[in-house]
Amino acid sequence: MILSVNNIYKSYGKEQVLKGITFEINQPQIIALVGPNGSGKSTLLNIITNLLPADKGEVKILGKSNRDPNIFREIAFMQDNTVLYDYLTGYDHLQFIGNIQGLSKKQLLDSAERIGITGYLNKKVKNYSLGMKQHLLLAMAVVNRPKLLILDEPLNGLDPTSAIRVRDLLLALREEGTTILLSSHNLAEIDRVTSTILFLKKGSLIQEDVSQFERIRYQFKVDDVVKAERALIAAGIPVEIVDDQLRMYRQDVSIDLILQTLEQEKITIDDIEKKVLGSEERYRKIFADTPQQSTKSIKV
Amino acid sequence: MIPMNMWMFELKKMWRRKQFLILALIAVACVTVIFLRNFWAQDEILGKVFQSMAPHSQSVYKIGKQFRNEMIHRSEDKAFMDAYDNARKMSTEFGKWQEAMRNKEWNHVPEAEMAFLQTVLKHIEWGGDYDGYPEDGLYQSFEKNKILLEHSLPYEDDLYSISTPNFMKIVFAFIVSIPALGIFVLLLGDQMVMEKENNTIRTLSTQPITKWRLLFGKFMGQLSAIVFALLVIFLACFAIPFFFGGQMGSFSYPQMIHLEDGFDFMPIDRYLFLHVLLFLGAASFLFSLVLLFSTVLKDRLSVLFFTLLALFGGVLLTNQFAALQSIINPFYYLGFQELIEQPNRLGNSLLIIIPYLYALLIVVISATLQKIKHTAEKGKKDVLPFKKGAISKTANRLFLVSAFEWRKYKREGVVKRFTVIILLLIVGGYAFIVFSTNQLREQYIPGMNASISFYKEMILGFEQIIEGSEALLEELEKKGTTPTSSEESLKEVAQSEVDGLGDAVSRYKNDVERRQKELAAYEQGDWKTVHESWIEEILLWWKDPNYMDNAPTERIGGGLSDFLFMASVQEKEWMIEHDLAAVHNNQSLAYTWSIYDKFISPLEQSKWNHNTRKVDKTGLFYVYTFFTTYSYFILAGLLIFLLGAGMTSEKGSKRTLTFLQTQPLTKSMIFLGKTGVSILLTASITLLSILFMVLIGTVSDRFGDWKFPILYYDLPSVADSANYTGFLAEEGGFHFIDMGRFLLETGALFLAGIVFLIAISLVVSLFFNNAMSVLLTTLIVAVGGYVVSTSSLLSSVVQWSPFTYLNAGKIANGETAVVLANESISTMSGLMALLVGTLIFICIGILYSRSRWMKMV
Repeated sequence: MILSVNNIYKSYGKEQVLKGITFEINQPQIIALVGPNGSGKSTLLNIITNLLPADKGEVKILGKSNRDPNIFREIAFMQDNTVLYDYLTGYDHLQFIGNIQGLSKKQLLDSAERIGITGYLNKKVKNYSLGMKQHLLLAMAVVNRPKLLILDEPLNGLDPTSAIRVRDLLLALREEGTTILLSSHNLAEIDRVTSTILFLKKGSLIQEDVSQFERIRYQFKVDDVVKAERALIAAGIPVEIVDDQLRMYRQDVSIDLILQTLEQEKITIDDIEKKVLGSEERYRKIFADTPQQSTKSIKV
Repeated sequence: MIPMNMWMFELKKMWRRKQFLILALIAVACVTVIFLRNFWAQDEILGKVFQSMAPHSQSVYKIGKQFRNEMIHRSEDKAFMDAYDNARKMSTEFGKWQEAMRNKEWNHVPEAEMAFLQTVLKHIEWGGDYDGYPEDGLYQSFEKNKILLEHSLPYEDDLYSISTPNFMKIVFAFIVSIPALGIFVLLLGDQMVMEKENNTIRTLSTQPITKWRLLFGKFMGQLSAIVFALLVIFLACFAIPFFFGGQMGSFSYPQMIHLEDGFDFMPIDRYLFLHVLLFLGAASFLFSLVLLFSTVLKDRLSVLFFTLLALFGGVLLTNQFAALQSIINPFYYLGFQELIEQPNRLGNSLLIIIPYLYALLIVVISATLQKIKHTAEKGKKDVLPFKKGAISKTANRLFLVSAFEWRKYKREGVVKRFTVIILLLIVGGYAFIVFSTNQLREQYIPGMNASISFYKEMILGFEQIIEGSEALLEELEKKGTTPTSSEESLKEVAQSEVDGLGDAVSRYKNDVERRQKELAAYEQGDWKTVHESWIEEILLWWKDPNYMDNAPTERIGGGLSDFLFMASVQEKEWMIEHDLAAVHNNQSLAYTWSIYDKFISPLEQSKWNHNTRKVDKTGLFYVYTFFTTYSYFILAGLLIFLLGAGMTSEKGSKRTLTFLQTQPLTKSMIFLGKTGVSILLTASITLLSILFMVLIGTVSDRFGDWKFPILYYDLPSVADSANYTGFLAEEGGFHFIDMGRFLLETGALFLAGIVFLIAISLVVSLFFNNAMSVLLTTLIVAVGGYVVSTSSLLSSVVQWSPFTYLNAGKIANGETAVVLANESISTMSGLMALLVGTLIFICIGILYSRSRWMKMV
């Protein structure tokens, strides 16, 4: 058992943010925690790492209570950049971790190189951009090769190159046996790395295996959409017209049969669009009833 | 037009930060404390009043006796008999006045006093003398009572009043004052610089806001907060007496003001109004300086430091140098009470506008200098890692956390800046000491010459009178006939003049000779002769009935204590025995201050404290001055501000504490690491400061006299013992200790005390997110603890309280033990109590940090 979260409740005043959150992670994998802003993701991560006390419930990490500070020898938590000391250098932060955790200087420098922050390691954090701070936080999180790595919005502020690099790093860490629990809003990136998504809705958890809802969607732009639809339905291919185009899903159809049918009816294909759908669609379905903005009127 | 949007935005920010609430709480707390002090002192008013009436009692008795003596010879003289009747009436009215006071018939007192005053005036009109009032005191009392009777106002004590208008005046004197301005600066002065530190100024720079609007908005916001505080004080002065047993009073109550050619009275409402106007002017000026410093400096500590330095330095220099006491000097307007009570210092009350004009000018200058657009600071140079980046070999996590704390302080650079500030303050303080010492020394010789000339003139005048009287006596003798009654009177007068003035001439000649000898010895550095001369002069004032000691103390009949005279003499004897150089007081007579000389008027007390303070510029004496003038409060306050904030800088918007928590460290270890480093730094800076004081004095002048005598108060149980070897005066016993010993003990207690206060502030920081709240809470706990510990209610057990020992000098010289009549209070018990107290607070901190209530996020 790597992580066991059992029946966690947490309220802020009258508002109950977490209601009986329970899940377990038993093997190395990458799990994403997804939910709208203010849904309690950071609260849950803070409770797991004992930065916040839960009202009720229990967390065990690697078979030990999360209250034992020594678990941080085996786990790491990457938070937001407000935890950095502006007047210290990046290396000062790593050196402190190295001293406390009994790491070697080589390990610190290897971690820095792996993340790509060697160039500004000896500058004070107050001179870092947002992306540089994120990189430093990541380097601090992976330096001790944790068995469980918890990341709160790791992709915030990263340029595409850095985002790809982080993604590759996470995948590599998973291969090395690290379990990763991350919260993120970047659903496209989540699809690329995670195997399980935990949706946090109204204080409760909905666990979904990514492979269950990954789909490929095709959209065809043809010269006679009505005729094409009739022909494809007659051929047993489920299709719908959306925005004057034909739409169908890879799991439902064979592309060859579609092309063959359209050719037979002498229908010209002007354009084909392919889209990989996954968590975004699932997210939409799960949170369809969640208002984006508060409908409460406020005084100004 | 005032930029309302920015102004309202500033007010909103202050509201959200609960600064209005904090100001209101502080204001109400201060008003409440002053009210309680006055309320509990109501019984003391009578004692004070009767002491102030003592001179009248003596004068009335003397006049009565004089008349009774003369009545035998002058009972036929109608004018004399009328005067005698008046004198008897004076005695009766005085009795009625006393009775009204005794029975606390405050409404009736003005009438009774007026009746008495009228008899005194009549007595003077008829050629009599009355010495119960100083200078214009009689006419001042008369005019005041006239106003009281006109408006049907009762008698009110000016120090302990609990009626709203007079109480408000007392409150204003305490808290609408210069120290209050300092507190306002600490609470509100970091608004602008915080915008830069937190980078929120970038948000403002992306809005259509000119720097003028920004600065004026901030300025008006800060002033609004001060006006709000004044309003709360004003309302509290009404509400608190109303609800807790005070009186409403009248805003027509007369307040005396001194004019160039006399005096007048103004109603108290006008007095308060002027006070508020002057205070707001001072606040405007001061906060314009805050804005200016925020423009040119980068960090909060520097802004606050330079502003406070400007405030207190400006006031000090203005008070010291006559050339600066000018209407164009904005600091001149910070002497609120003096300017109101002596309107000729201003000339025209419209000049109150000057500090406002300065404020406006400085805000304009600040706006001119202010840059809003900040470019990102990139490309700063590399900083070398600690120990070349090596990992520590030790596994001791407490040591590692402590080392990390130390490294944070080093990187942040605050300790370095702070130490520089402290050293600058020490240098500045020393410059002031040097100036004062040199001034006293330079004034000494001309002063002595002037007094020698004065006495010589007196001698000449008296000798001429004696010559004339002797000539008259000779003439009367030569006549040979039986002298007439008027000739007898003349002969009597002439003879008394010859005898009396002859004695005086003889005394003055001795005085002149002594002073000349003293002056010559002083110039040659013959300190033994100087001390002997001072002893001789002190003995004259102590023992010689021709020297009238009428110092306005609380003793019955006035005068200085037996203790003072004896201690002053013995001190000089010690100086002779140990061959020590003379040290000047601020006044000419070399008295030694003692706890037994309390003056009726606080102003007189303050003058006395100042005049008896010794001034010298040696290294040891500088440290002595540091400990005995409460300058150490500045160092203590700065240390608590810098090092006592503890956890607050890592909570709130900066959550660096959670970084530490995501390492294999317990919360108590984090707390202990901070505590250990803070205490070590505190001790180091304190020791460094003291050593620097000694060094600067030694280099500039000399090390000092280790054996300089410091008065040590002995407990009655010690002084009354059979083998007592000290000196026993009427009021109590004493002996002297070396200054070296005094400084070592005081220094040790001070160090332990400041470490104790740091421990308190670190524990307090576990509960707050804001450094200022920690500082204020620690100050309240320290002051409150000290006041409670040194009150007579708990005197038998206070030896266990560490707060008792916070005034280190008074422990090391035995004063606290004597005042509280507690034998167990000593330096050793103080060090133990402070150590134990420190450990207790650290344990509280450890326990709380381990508990589930300890919030890190």
